[in-house]
Amino acid sequence: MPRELGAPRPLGWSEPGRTTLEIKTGGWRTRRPMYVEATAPCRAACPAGEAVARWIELARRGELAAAWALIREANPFPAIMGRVCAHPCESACNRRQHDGGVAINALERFVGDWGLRHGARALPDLPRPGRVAVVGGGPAGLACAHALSRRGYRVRLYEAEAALGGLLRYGIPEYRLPRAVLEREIELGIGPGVEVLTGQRLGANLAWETVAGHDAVFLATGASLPLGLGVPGEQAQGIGNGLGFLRDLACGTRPTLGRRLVVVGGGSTAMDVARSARRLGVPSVSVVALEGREEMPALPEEVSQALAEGVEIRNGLGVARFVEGGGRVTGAAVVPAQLERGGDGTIRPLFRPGPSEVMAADSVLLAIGQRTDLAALPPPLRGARGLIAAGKDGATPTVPIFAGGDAASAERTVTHAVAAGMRAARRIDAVLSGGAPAAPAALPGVRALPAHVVAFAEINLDYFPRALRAGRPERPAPGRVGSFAEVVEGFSAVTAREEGARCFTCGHCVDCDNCLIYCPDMAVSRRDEGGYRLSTDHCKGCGLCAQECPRGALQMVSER
Amino acid sequence: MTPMQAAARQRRMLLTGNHAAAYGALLAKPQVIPVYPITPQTPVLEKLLELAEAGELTGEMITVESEHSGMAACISASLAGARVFTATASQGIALMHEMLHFAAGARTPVVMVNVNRTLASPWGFWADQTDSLSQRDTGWMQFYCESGQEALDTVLQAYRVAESVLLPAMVVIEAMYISHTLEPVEVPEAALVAGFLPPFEPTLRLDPGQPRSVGGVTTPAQWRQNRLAMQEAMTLALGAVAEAGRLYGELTGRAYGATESYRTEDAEVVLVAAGGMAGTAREAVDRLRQAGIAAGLLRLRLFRPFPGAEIAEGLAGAARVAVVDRNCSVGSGGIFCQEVRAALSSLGQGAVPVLSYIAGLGGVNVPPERMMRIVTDALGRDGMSAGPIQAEEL
Ligand SMILES: Cc1cc2nc3c(=O)[nH]c(=O)nc-3n(C[C@H](O)[C@H](O)[C@H](O)COP(=O)(O)OP(=O)(O)OC[C@H]3O[C@@H](n4cnc5c(N)ncnc54)[C@H](O)[C@@H]3O)c2cc1C
Ligand code: SF4
Ligand code: SF4
Repeated sequence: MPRELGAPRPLGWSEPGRTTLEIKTGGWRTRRPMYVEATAPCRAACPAGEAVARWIELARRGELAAAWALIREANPFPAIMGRVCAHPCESACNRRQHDGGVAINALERFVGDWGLRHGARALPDLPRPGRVAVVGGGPAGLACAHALSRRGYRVRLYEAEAALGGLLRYGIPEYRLPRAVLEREIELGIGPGVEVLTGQRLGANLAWETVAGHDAVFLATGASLPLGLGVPGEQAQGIGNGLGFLRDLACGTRPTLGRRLVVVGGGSTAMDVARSARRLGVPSVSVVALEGREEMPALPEEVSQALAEGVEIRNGLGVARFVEGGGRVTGAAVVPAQLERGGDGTIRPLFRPGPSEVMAADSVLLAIGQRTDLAALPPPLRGARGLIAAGKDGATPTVPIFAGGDAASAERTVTHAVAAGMRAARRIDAVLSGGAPAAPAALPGVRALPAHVVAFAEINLDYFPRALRAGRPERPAPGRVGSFAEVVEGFSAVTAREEGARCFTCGHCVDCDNCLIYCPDMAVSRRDEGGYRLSTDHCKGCGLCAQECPRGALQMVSER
Repeated sequence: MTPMQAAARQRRMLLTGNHAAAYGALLAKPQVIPVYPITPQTPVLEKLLELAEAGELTGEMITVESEHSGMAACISASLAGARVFTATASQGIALMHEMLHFAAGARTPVVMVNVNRTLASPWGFWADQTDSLSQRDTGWMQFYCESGQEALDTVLQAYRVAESVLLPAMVVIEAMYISHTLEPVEVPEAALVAGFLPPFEPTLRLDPGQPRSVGGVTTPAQWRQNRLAMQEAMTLALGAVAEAGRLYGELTGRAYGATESYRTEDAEVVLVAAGGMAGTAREAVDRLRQAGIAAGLLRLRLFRPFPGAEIAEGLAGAARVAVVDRNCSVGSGGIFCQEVRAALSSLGQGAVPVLSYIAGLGGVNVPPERMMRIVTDALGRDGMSAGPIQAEEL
């Protein structure tokens, strides 16, 4: 007899409430997945070690206050960074190998600009007894003062000039870093525990003893002595140094340069000098660089912006001598040359045989680097290669004196300077509080693996459809030569969200639920506080979750 | 119901076999329809989409990325208590193979139309029964239809049987000869068949409010028990098929059985065929009878469960049996023939000579003349042949 319609299904069904959870497949396991928080390559490449993946994740979720605060734990100046940093993070970005690196720098500017409008000054955690002297108010000194005051220390910040900022104010021109941005970000960065003392020059009106009388000292006086070429004719009138020119400009003086300017050098300074001169109306501006176009230390975007603004760039040439007439420079004799690097890191020109040519010039500006002024310092602090003697962490032979930034390092970027300031602050805190600060705990169930840098191969590309990197809008070149208004524009909120969505979030769980969906044994469950719990009763070690994690935040570990 | 009354409640439409099958599905009111298109089944899918767009078909159609996923979706939906329909052919059913076992083992009464088509390689689009016959051990019931009308009628009967014994059922039509051939089809009105196929109401269904598991790991003993229960259900299905065919006949005037005997009484040679070729065989039988040769036809409609006893009974008086297979189990021969021989021998009728003819492989046309030649060939032999006989070479 056939069964009635709807007869009970005979077999294979469990009793009510008895699900497959009662089948404990955990015993089959020899490997186990582990939630990790690994290091994204962008973070590994950022000199300041910003938690890029995590702040982008916060920003794309619209949590801009949290994103801003997170950047500032590593770098108090996101709006400045988003304009002047050479962004090595983008060169390391895993997405480069897919469809173009994430526009991290532009996103940082977006978050930083949010902070300029909505951010508040950082207040100290709790007051601490120590009093620290910071000498030099450039990015290194500012970062150090910021970090120390946040930790509750009282800081005296001594600055030779009338205003803070160092080369951010007296070097980098306004069309790259508007004064309002600089002012506001410094204001936000300097906490109430910082006493700013301007017009105080160590070695002149500020005595070493005054400085050394503090519980700790951070020296961040930069590299202010311009280097010369050492070629015949260099003393002629009309030959000056680029940094001095930029400084005059920043102070409101408009130097006269004539109709033809030759700028010597291939870095950021040379580009800034040349582009500023074009803005002052100099019709012919030529840059002479030893390096080939690709090897120039200036950033590619700076070079292309300079070319668009009518600057001529001549590569592979060195100045052999200057031509003068009546004590005034009339030209620069250039010959084929290249840059030679000595084993000790020094660089010098190597002239090659070839035709010499005289480039006519009404004036010449040298932008070939600076030296640190060590004269005001006690001898043990005067190190090799014209730098203050200090290790990576800023410690000098005379503890508790620390140094960093351009004054103590040949890595001369704003970001390295900020990083040096932050690192020194940590070390000073450790020295003054008598212990190293505790590392922040990873999320529950997540193992921090800071030494593991997530490789491109760890990204599951199936989850990342191709999407083009957002371009940075620029004001059109013809209009911008006439003014010092900012050239590069910021992202709109929409572009920022779209670009942020391109980030793989390498090595960090973003609660995407993939592991939960793919686990065939229901070993993965959500935690109320975010993240996931793994049931060792059920995980059979198949590794599907780790395979399907889009971003390498799950790794299989052996249990044997 | 009188034949007049039954006819008044059906609409005559000119339909291809594919569209007739789709109308069968429409009348069954499936709630979930996961389908993946494949030649020559695609018109089934297209017709269902048209009917859905017109608002006549209310079930949810799911576009899936493959037949394997399609059958997985069928199983899940069926376990959740939905009536499920799907259709496929050839490579599609081959890709489903793993899930076919799963559907049967989980006792899901899924109904699927399969359009018999050659399997690659080489590539082809023509009629060949191997695709469905090679799924014979998956635990699915299999019906072979002779016409579009029968496809429509069988879909409805298959649901009734499947849902009463809780096994999935396959309704098979041949590529082109049935799938793409127009014929007049009687389409019953919905109310006429509503009582024949009431809504599917399983007492057990997946329900997040009442969590349970199904199909999880079992002990060897439990697994064995499940298999035995499936075998028992297949036995029950024989009765359910007969009952459904009879009841359906009462409603519509078209009754069906697991087999059909045509002029087999006193027949010297009985042709055995399934699917579209059975119609050709019927025509050949008539012409042979006119010529004074006592030929008959036993049509196989049901292949799983295999109606062995009914076949043995139908062939009891035959002097010779000629089984015509549009398939070839390479290395053995015609699949229907093997099964017929096995059934006869296990029922003590092993002495009846059963000849195996292979005809129409790969969609080659089998006209009535070829069927007649099969009969004369069978008469000319002493009942023995070393291997399968190739009908095209007679
Ligand atoms: C024109 C130019 C463009 C640049 N562009 C970029 C760029 O785009 N991106 C980038 O990353 N880097 C750039 N750099 C490099 C970057 O500006 C420096 O690496 C960075 O500013 C170094 O920071 P710092 O704090 O060590 O020194 P500085 O910025 O030089 O600051 C040192 C501070 O110490 C003060 N000081 C000096 N001597 C004394 C003293 N004896 N007593 C008290 N105070 C003293 C100075 O007045 C100054 O405020 C550029 C440099 C130049 C010159
Ligand atoms: S500071 Fe520079 S390197 Fe670091 S994340 Fe920002 S742009 Fe990248
Ligand atoms: S994809 Fe995102 S997390 Fe990964 S390297 Fe690029 S910016 Fe960093």
